Amino acid sequence: MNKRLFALMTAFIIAATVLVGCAPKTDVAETPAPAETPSETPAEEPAKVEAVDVRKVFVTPEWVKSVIDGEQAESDNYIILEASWGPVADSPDYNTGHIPGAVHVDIASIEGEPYWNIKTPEEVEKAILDLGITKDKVVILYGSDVSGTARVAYAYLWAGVENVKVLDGSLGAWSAAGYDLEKTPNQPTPVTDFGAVVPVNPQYWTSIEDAAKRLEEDPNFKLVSIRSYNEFIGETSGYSYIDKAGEPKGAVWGKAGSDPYHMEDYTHEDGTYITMDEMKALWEGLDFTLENDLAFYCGTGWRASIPFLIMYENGYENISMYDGGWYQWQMNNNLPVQLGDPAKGDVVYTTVGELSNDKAAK
Amino acid sequence: MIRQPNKLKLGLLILFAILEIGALISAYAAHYFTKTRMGMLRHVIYLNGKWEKIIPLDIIKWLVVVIILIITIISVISILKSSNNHIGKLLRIISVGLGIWTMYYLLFRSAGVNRAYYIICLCLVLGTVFQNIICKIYEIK
Repeated sequence: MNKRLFALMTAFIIAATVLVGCAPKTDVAETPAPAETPSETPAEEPAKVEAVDVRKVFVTPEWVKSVIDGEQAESDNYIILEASWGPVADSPDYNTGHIPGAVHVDIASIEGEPYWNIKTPEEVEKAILDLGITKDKVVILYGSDVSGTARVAYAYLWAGVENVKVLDGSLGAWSAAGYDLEKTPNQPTPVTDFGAVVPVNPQYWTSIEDAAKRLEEDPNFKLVSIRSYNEFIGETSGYSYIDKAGEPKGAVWGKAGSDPYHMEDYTHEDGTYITMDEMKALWEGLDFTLENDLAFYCGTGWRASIPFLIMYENGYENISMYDGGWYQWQMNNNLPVQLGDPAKGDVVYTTVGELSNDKAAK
Repeated sequence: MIRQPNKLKLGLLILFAILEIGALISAYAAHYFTKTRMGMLRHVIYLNGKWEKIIPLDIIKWLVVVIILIITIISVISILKSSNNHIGKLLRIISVGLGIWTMYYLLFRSAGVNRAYYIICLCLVLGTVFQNIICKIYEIK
């Protein structure tokens, strides 16, 4: 009896082995190993990462990984960019470990002197083409500076890149998700044709002339200061390289963080950006509404990119950036300025030329 | 009684050597950080603008070039004159090299090319001066 049972079991095992061995390779790879107690959905099978809308900006590490793994429509034509200021050789963020396949992008490639505004369309286009980016290429950005990363994303949207993503939580979120980093530098493959005339979206950019004019003439226009409260009321310029403090006359406060280099109001402790609902809650009781034409600004255009992107992601079109910010405004002695908080009725109006020159951050 | 002046001389030599090395490190640091730190670049550009407004930098530049040229010529003459003192000769050669480098930087670079130009020039000039002081101290009998 035992011999028969043994023979039967042996025959069964051989047959099973032969059958499994004959199965196509792909099936083996895609089919999870049979569990001891069969169930309809194996617990270990990773959940498929959902596709995201083209307009969606902030994406999860899981989504980025699924793009790398070829599981998304975006997988066919994408580039991952680590955004930080300076050349790649001097980028500790990139060289200590980056997302596999990522290329470094120097934030200085899209902005420059004299006002630290977005560069000319020709310069931005060249910077984009050098990275191999066309309007159809999906750009996934991440970087240790939430504002700097948002700045590059904004510039690319302004230029006309149709699908720009920002890895929410940056490298911290990527590592927390258990994904590997690589240290080998990657080189982009430049292209010669962007596929559209840069900028495709000039309406996202407000000049200092337009900002000054609309502040005077358009009651629906709101110039929203994404700066710390002390900067907003003119206690400090916030920067070591700006002597004068204040705000353009008529500007409203949109909150930001404790100083120019922290954006606590717009980010969570883990470095992820706040959502539209959280931003609505943040803006409750402030002197503007979502129905206004909103032009965000800060010192030189980094911080203001964050609310711009959050609203862009949620489909708003009544948004732009006053790129010159306080830096450019305070260079013109004739422009009107407010000192204090108009919402509290504690405000003094003057001009740039009358401001003291002792408000640079120490 | 005899060792006392030598101690003072040695102390001064070390002091000025440290100052010179500090000046040269500062020059490199200014160059490096304006390339790699956005805040530093912007601050340096802000300082450049401020200095250009209130200081006659061009006049000072030519004045400094002339002074360094004279110092360098004196060093060359010293090298040609001294035949036995190898250390003294070496110190003078360093002085000449530093002088030429400083003059080259002053004349052929600008704040438009090297944002930290003024800071680097100041550091190089100080380095050259300190090196010449070292030479002088060493040559004191």
